[in-house]
Amino acid sequence: MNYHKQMKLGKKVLFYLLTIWLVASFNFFLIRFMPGDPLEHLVGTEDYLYLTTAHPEVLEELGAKYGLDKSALHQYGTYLFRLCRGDLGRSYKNNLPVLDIILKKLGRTFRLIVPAVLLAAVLGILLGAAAGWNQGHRSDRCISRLALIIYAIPGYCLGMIGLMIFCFWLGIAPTGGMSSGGLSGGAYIKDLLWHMALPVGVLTLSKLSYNVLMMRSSIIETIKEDHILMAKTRGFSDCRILFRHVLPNAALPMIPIITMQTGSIISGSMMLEQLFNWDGMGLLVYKAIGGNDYPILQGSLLVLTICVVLANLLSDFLCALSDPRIKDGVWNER
Amino acid sequence: MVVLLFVALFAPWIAPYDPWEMSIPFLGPSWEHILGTNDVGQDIFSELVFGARTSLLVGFTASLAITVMGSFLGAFAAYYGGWADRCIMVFINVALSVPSLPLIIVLSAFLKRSVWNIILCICLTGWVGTARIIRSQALRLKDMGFIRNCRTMGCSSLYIIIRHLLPNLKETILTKGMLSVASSMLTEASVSYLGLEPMTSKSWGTVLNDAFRAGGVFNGYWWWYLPPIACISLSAFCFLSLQEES
Amino acid sequence: MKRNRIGIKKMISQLLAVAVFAALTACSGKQETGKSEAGIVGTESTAEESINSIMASQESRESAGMPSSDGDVELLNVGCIYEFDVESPYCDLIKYLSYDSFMYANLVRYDENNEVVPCLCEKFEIAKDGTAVTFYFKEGIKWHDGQSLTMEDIEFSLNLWLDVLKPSVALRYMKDVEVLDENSIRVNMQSSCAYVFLRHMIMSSAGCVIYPKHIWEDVKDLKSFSGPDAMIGCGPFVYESYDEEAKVAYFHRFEDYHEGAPTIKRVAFHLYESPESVVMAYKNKEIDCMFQYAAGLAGIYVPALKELDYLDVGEEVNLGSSILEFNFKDELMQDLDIRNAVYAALDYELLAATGGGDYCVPGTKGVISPGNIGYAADMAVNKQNISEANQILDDAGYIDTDGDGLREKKDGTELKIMVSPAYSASKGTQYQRLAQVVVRDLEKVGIKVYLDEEVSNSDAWKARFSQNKDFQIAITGCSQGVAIIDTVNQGLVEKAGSDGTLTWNGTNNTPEYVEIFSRIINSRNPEEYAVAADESQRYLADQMVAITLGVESMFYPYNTADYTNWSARNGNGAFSYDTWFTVKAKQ
Repeated sequence: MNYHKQMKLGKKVLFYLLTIWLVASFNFFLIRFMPGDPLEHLVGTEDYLYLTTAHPEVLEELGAKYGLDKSALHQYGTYLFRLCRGDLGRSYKNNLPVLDIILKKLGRTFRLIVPAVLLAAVLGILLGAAAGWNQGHRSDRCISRLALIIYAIPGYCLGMIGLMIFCFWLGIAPTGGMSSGGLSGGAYIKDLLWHMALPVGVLTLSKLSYNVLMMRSSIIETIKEDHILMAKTRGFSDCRILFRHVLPNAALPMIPIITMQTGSIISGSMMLEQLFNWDGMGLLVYKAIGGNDYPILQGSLLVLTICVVLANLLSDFLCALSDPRIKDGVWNER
Repeated sequence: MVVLLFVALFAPWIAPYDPWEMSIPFLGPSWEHILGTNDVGQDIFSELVFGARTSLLVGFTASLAITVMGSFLGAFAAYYGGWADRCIMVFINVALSVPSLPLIIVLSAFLKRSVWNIILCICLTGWVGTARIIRSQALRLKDMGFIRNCRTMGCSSLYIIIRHLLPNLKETILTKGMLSVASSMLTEASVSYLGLEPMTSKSWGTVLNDAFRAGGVFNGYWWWYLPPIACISLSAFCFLSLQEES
Repeated sequence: MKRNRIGIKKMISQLLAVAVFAALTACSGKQETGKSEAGIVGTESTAEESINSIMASQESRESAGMPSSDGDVELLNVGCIYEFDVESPYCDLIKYLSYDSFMYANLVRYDENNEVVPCLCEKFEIAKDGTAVTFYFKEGIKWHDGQSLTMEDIEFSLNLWLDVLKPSVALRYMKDVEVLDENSIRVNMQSSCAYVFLRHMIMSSAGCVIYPKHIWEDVKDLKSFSGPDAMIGCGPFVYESYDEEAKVAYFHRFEDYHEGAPTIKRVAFHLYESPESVVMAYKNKEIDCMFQYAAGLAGIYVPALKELDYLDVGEEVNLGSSILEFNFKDELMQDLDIRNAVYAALDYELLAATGGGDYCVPGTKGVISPGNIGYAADMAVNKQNISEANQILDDAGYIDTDGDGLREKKDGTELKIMVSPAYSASKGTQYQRLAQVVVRDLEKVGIKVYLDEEVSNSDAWKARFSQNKDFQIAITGCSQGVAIIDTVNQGLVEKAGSDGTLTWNGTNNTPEYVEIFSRIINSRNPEEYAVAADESQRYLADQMVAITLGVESMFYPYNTADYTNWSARNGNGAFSYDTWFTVKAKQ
């Protein structure tokens, strides 16, 4: 059994590695389709224009330096090798290592995502439980309708409305950015939280609605189960049944649901960053498109994929940890 | 929902103006222009009416492709099992791990801008959800009596999948299909809001983007930015409610 | 805050006065008592003298210090749409700030009327024939690290421009650098273009500034050298720090600046992504003014800005403009009839309103905007005339032969025109919107037109416009800076210079036009320049090389509630070189 479990885990990790490899290869072949001479992007358009007319031999030298004269297979090999060492190349724009830039921005995106995921999870489970427990009551209808409506509004629309209300009309929120600058210690943290409030709030709200809906149906399913009925017939108080028997069972399926949202929450935060001028991955990718900064674009896609893969691993791990019944962690067969 | 379809189908008759026709820019709401005009003097109401077309076009085509592809792959995987199943599962897992919006954005840097490319991008990752659910449901059905009977009667696999397996899953397929219409429409709106759509295409996202870029939001032209938000949200809500009920 | 500080200062000075008085009386008392002991008296008297001198210096410091302390700006918040990704003179923010000698300075700079004046030199002299310019060394200029500016630094920098920073526009003029004696250095030109060269030197996008030799001489790769050492200039402001998270770059004033210390103690540049965010920042009172080279806010934002009563919207007329440019490499566009038909077909009222709301009006024939040196005021205002456009096309033989409502080429093949809008961060989507209007207008006269959808970002645009030159009609802009340096023609002409070897940004190499532009850049004084510019405008109008899409106002709003004595320079708005030395905080 134990051996079996290890096999399963090993297989899964292999699966994830395969995923990352596929995305990396996809990235490599995208470069082949890139319009124009890759060298143009390596030296910058202005210099490239000058060099093509004045010193073509310098360009050839540069091409050899970047290995552009070798076969595609050879280039692919070096690409993968460098990837393994964490070398994603350098940004065309400012010649800084791509990985450094991405990691910095990723941390900032996490500042939005992590609190939003946690808040959305806790509030979602609680509100969903309240709705499911009172199924059919007015409170249930109220909560689930509202959740559905918010679920239908895209995050950036919510953000725009939030910006209008809190920023322009009430004037209590900053218009964007991450901090005011020139602060340290407590004042800095306060300032940071103040800037975070609106984007995190909006992100939480849009993710919350989905959690509520999911939790509600999970609760409704759980209530129907035998041991809950048993508990009811044994005369336990509603409160005890809810917190001792229903909630833990109903919340379990929420673990993969919440962790699996990572992909969509990354997308959501990318849209919001653009609106709130939050200098994270979203803005980075958006600007990279504007400047055809391919190494950044591809690196971002790879790193974001790795994030999602890690989130899935976490989900497997949590599931296995919390429920003996699904220790084999078969999330993909849910 | 019906209203939406109606509007999209009969857009040219409903819209008071050609949404590409230009007159005086930055007009407020009036009887001539119910929702005013934008920065190049196009009627915003007509833009929205025609935007419904784009949104529904993307929503339906993408979700159709997603559903067909997803259910077939799911059913195949479940029916054949073994290597076919494993291969498809690998693809499902890979596609599941790639965040869709970043992928679409990166691809848009390489592809030519057109609505069809956006649909393509949406399909690229969209089918996995459907495939996964169909596969797990089909696994359950596969060993049921009537499927086994068919097999012993010598029906071809394709016949069994199309005539017996999938029809029995039509409720799941339909529900998932509705969901993917909503999500495709939302994705399309996001992409066009980011300005990654062709410049002249009219969609709710582009109207919103124009409103933001051309100062509509700061100058307080609510008639410019609120209606597209309402359109996007309402239509997504429609499909979600449908899915809820079915 | 401010009032408090002044209060404290007053208290301290009063206390000091009391203490000094007490010491004096004590001394004088001692003097009276100890007259007999000469030695002691001597020391006492020196003590008294030193106390007196302390008092004097205290007084002098107070008299010199008071005016600066009660009007100086503690921290000026400036908004801009640049990036500050590396600490290097080549990052966007520093590069454009260098146009105005902010941190890195140059030998010359613009004064408030956009005239060239000396900055890091005593004076400069343009040779009579205009083929050389001589700079005379100025003593007493210091680098931010305390070292003195030397003749070697200047020679080193000029050679750096020549040898390393080559691709720059300005350097195409330079032939060589000659040190005449320890006090003067001469730059020789390829032609008689020294007068225009000085302007190119000020606004060089390749980072042509004066570098400290002691730091840069060992640098191998200029473009990737970064860090605090790369931020040592000799301009009036010293780099302090960059708060990457808040995206704020801090600078403080350089007390030893050779033209006197600025009246702004610290400057904070808040970096934004788009003009929209700058408007939002104004709304939130985050910034007091903005810095954006030749790209103030467009008129469409003015309604929102006018609501803010702490601001003056800072209107100035853009000497450049949005332009429609024909590609002379394209066969169809070489036909003057097509160009004239396009000219007559455009709806200039709508184009102007789209570009700048209520603050943009149709321009005149000949592209050059009013206000430029040599502007010919007698040109006709651009006006739509569809029947004339149709007439021109009919007469020229572009007739609809297959009856599909669209015109065909003279030989009956399909007539199709592509309109390519430029991409620029500071202009937002303006060019794309203008292009849509142009497409609509051309459709109206029966020409099949389509928007260029292949190009969708600034790099692809650069490739199409400057490298491949495979556009037909481009919707782009002539920046204010270009208009000031050597007129809009810079972007239209393909070759110029005495021997025709200097390549330019445009596509037109008609000998007559090349000759006119060569005369502009070879003009030796404003008068010659004006004559040549006037002539170029007439040529542009006759040959319809390009069309201006509107004369617009740009807006550089600035805070008048807290600060006063702003000084604007056309092209930079309120945050100009002169402002740094004049602006004062209101009491």
